[in-house]
Amino acid sequence: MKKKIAGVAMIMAFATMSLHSQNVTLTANNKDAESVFADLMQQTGKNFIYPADLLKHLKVSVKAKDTPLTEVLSNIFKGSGITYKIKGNNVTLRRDKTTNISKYTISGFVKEAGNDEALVGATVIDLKSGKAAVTNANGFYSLTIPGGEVDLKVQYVGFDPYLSGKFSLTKNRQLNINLAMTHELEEVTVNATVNNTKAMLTTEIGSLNLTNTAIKATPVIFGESDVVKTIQLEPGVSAGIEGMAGMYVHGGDTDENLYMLDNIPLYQINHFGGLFSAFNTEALRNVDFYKTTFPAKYDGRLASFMDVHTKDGSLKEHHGSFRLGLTSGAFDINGPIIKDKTSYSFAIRRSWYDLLTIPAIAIANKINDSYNTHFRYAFTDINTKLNHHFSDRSSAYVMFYYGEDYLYAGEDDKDKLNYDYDYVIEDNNGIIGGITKPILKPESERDNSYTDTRAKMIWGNIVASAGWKYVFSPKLFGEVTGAFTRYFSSLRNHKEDYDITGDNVNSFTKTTYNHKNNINDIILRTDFNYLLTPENKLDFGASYTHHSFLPTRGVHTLTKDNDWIKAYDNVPHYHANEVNFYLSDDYSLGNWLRANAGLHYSLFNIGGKTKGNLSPRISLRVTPCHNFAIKAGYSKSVQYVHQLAESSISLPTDQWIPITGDQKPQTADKIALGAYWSTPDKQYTFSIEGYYKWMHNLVDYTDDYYLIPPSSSWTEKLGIGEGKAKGIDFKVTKEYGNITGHIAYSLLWADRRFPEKNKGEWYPARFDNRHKINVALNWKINDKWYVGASWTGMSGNRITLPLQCWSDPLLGPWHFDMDYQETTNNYRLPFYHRLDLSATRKTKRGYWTFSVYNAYSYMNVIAVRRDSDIGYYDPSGNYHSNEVFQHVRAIPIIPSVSYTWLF
Amino acid sequence: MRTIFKKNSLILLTYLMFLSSCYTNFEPDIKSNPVVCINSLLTAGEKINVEVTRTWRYTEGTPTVGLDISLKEAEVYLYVNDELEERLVLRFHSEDGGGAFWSRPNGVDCYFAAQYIPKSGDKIKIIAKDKNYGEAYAEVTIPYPVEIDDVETRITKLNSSFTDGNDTYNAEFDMMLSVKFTDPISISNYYIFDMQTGASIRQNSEDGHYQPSVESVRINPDYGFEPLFSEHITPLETIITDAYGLYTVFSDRQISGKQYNLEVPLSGSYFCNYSDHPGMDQKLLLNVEFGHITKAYYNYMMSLWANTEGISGALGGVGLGDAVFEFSNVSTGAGIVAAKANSIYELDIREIINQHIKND
Repeated sequence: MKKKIAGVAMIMAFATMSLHSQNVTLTANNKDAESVFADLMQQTGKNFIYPADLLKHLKVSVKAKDTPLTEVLSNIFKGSGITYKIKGNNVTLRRDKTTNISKYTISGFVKEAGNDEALVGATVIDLKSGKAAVTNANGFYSLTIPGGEVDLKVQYVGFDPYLSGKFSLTKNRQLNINLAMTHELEEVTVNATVNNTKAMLTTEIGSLNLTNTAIKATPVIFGESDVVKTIQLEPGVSAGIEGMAGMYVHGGDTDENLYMLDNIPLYQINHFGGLFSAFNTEALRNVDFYKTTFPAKYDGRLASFMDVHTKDGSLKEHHGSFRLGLTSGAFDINGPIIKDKTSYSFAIRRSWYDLLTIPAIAIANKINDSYNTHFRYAFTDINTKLNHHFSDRSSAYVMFYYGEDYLYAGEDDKDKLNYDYDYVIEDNNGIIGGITKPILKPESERDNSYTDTRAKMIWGNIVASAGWKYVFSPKLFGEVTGAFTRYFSSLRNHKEDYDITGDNVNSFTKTTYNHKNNINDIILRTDFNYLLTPENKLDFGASYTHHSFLPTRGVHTLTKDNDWIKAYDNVPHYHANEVNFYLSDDYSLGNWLRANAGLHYSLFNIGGKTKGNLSPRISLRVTPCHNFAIKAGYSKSVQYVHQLAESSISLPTDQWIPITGDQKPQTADKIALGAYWSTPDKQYTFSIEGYYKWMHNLVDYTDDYYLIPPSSSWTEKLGIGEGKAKGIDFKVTKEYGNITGHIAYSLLWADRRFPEKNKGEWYPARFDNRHKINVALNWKINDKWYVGASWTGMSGNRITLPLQCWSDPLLGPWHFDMDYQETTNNYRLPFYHRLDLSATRKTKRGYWTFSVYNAYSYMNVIAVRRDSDIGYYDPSGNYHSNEVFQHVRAIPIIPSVSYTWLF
Repeated sequence: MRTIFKKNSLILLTYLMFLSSCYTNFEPDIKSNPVVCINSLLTAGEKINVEVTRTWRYTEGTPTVGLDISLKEAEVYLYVNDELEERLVLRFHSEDGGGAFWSRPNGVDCYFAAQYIPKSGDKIKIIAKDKNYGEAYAEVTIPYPVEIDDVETRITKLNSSFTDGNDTYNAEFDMMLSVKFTDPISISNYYIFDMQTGASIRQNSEDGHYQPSVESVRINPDYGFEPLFSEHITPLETIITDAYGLYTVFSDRQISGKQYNLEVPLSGSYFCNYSDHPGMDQKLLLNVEFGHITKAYYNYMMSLWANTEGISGALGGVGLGDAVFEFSNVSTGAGIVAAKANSIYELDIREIINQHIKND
């Protein structure tokens, strides 16, 4: 209203000069509409009344000589969507609500100049109409705006913005845009633009986009950048065990996160027991992470969804890097195979602990006279991708990932048994008995008796996928994907005992244990984005997955001379079919309201039984005033598979198993509310998000699962329970400037209840870290030096601490004290805090990264043990033991350095 | 048996992963009250002894170093088939021939004894009441013995022996033992297997004086050979454990209702028996004991395995997993009342060797 009055006031100023002429003479070529109307007013003496923003950015071209005013006005407003009405001395201008204004769609891809990597979350704005679109995971955008003159700006943090300049839009148009990086290493924080857009414009609650650069800038243990460890700094995400790439989101368990590699699930995401994740930072482009409300596209897990987008490779020139760190080395290269048509990307990462352990073990074996030790551990990741662009609208890709952990260990006797035992009789204080004395046998009688034990474990993932992306129309983008994802784990334990004299084998015993565990999924999926109207965007798709589960298959073979026995673990192979459909509608009602409503329907068929579940999703965003948004959302999610893990570290024997029989899938209902405020210059974004989550049919080991033999069906070891979690996530992010970063605080309550645990009472979840604070800062000192710091402080993990003991009944092998079990997770470890630092020094050819994990070397408590401290004697000379509880503190300061050579 | 990763190696590796660690004493600010604990193993045909103690906070002390946890003033009642049979009486281990301060390895110096001799099929309930720590009870049914159908032995190697033509006085040998039994079809059954080497049955000489003899029997059973003895071992544990022989308990999950041969190789076994008086009865006994045990006994042994040898206990002990607790079937959660019925098969090793030499 104020604007309207302002317009009227301005016009009234001209009214005093009014003349009553109806014909006008006017010439204007692409002039501001307001200046043209000022001229008209002067000539006609009429008042022009219009909303202040109606003529903003409107350019007018007109040529009239003594032409009637009505004719001139008709010409000026033709196709502009503005109508006029002359009443007395007033000419009222308003938007034409009856006439369809021609609208056209501009669509295309936004990519990084030089390497053609899609930029996810880039904002495309028409400065004239104020309409904006955000690029999807493929860098695709579609923007429908009124025809006529448009003025596009495309922005993405760390990149020089693209300014189209004004141009006339008279038909649908494809416009691919390449953005150039401002400074290669400048962007050292969470991608501001994307996340600011997510916070202020979308309906998403608790979503995040991380770039490769942001992940590299996070200081972590051993200097190994890791997407999961970067996400651990987010509010509402608990890391679990210190140093590990665990992720416990909003009170969920680690198997409740869906990790995807280019939209394809990855089951095993850990290396080295969880110390590193399976995602090689060098191979990834960016990561989408959803922790609170979920897009309808995703389902299958309860707690979070993380989609890692790998690099496509440059269509223009070859790039690459080689990094050498303390624990691993990585090499990546990408470039064109056919310039502007076909690109490749290849990345490999390999640990090199074995280069350290091989000489160490060789030395140890030389010192040790009795036996040789063998040990080797390594992990490897290989990511490759081929992209081919058939046209501006059509492209296809093939992606392959292989990740493996390899552990080999063993011992074998170094020397032959050259001793015999002589039995002699000695009179020892009147007691007659036999004792043995080793006597070296004569050479001719010496036996060759030795033992050889070896174990080999290999576990990891294979993902192979191929996809075709097609822009069916400026409003419709589609992708079809076929994929195969496999998790595998194999263990072979082998022991041989030989007793040989000369060429004669006196005795031979061989025990082998082969165990394997795998999942094979074949996936077909389609995903579409359709811009129904400028305000209404549809996402829809479908997928089919054939699961093949082999939770465990063990063969125990025992051979004694010529006898042998084979025993098989009796766990069957399961096949399941899963079909998913989803549809979501993102609708904007002006700038102040936006809603996203979606449905995800899943069908899971196993053992002749089919379970169907509907997962509705809805989220709303209200923008009551500029730079302020309030959001609310509800998400339901369903999980048909779960992981059985006996510990908080990742072991090769952890099994993924499906629901079977009458078992119901795990489900979660989550409501969330959020408020967001961004400073006008978008330097700072404040967010506060609250949520409440109910979890049903949760699956966990019962308290005494270890009483049941491993060969038994896992259903005997599991309990079905429920959970609830609630909390608040607060975050302040500084988006731009030499100093960037965020401060986050989260408050969490997470509880579980299982009939078979804790006497059926509610108990706190293990990673119910009540308070968690994260501060992450990055400072660009100059063009060469960048430093980063992150501080984490949180309430400790919960553990079940036996306080009392009961007497050993002496029924089995001697055991000190029996632990008396009281309530589950009854003790919270002390407050945890740690500061990590990093510094990056840019050189001519690359950069050095120095990092310090746990900079002030405060060794946090990771466990509690019970032990005997130094006892004492009382005055009577009786000894008194001094049993104590002890905090086990671990991981002091760990400095590390790596060099990355860029080419 | 040396294994690739012994449990300690695993823990060491875990600690290495954490590079270093240190310990600081503290006292958890959590209240916990002691409760009554009952421990007893009831064997068909043998007298009943019950240890009644209390739980103690870990920092309170150690029963083996002076902490008295026995509830000597407790009232302990025995119910048989839901009928009160008797109140048990307190006895001290020292009364059974030990020294004045003799106590068992668990530091408990007394127990409650019953007159009643349990028999298979008895439903036994033990209730213990203490004025300070409250009440506890446990119930168990004495199983029926599962007889050993047959035991076959086969000498796979005779390394050395000394015989006088008729009798063997020492031998070093390998032997395969095959113990055949039939699992009762009706119920879930749990078993414990053991072997005892007995000294020769000595007799006094004609003049009535004890005749010294030199006896030594050594067997090295490789329990790892028998798959049923390792049914509780997970794939990962197969490479970290060396405690096969300590846990010869198993269930009938895989053999329900069937006849089965337990195969146990005895490698590097040895015996010698020299006597001043040839002609004495010089049996060298190997007693094969086959116990039919209650599920609670089995569960207790499995929990002990998991706690001390298993991967769960190892990781739980260093904070990387959930804690593992010993199984209890006592109402308070402290103690175990188990039962078993034994079937014993006697083997005369000397006779087996003699037979083997003759057959060769």
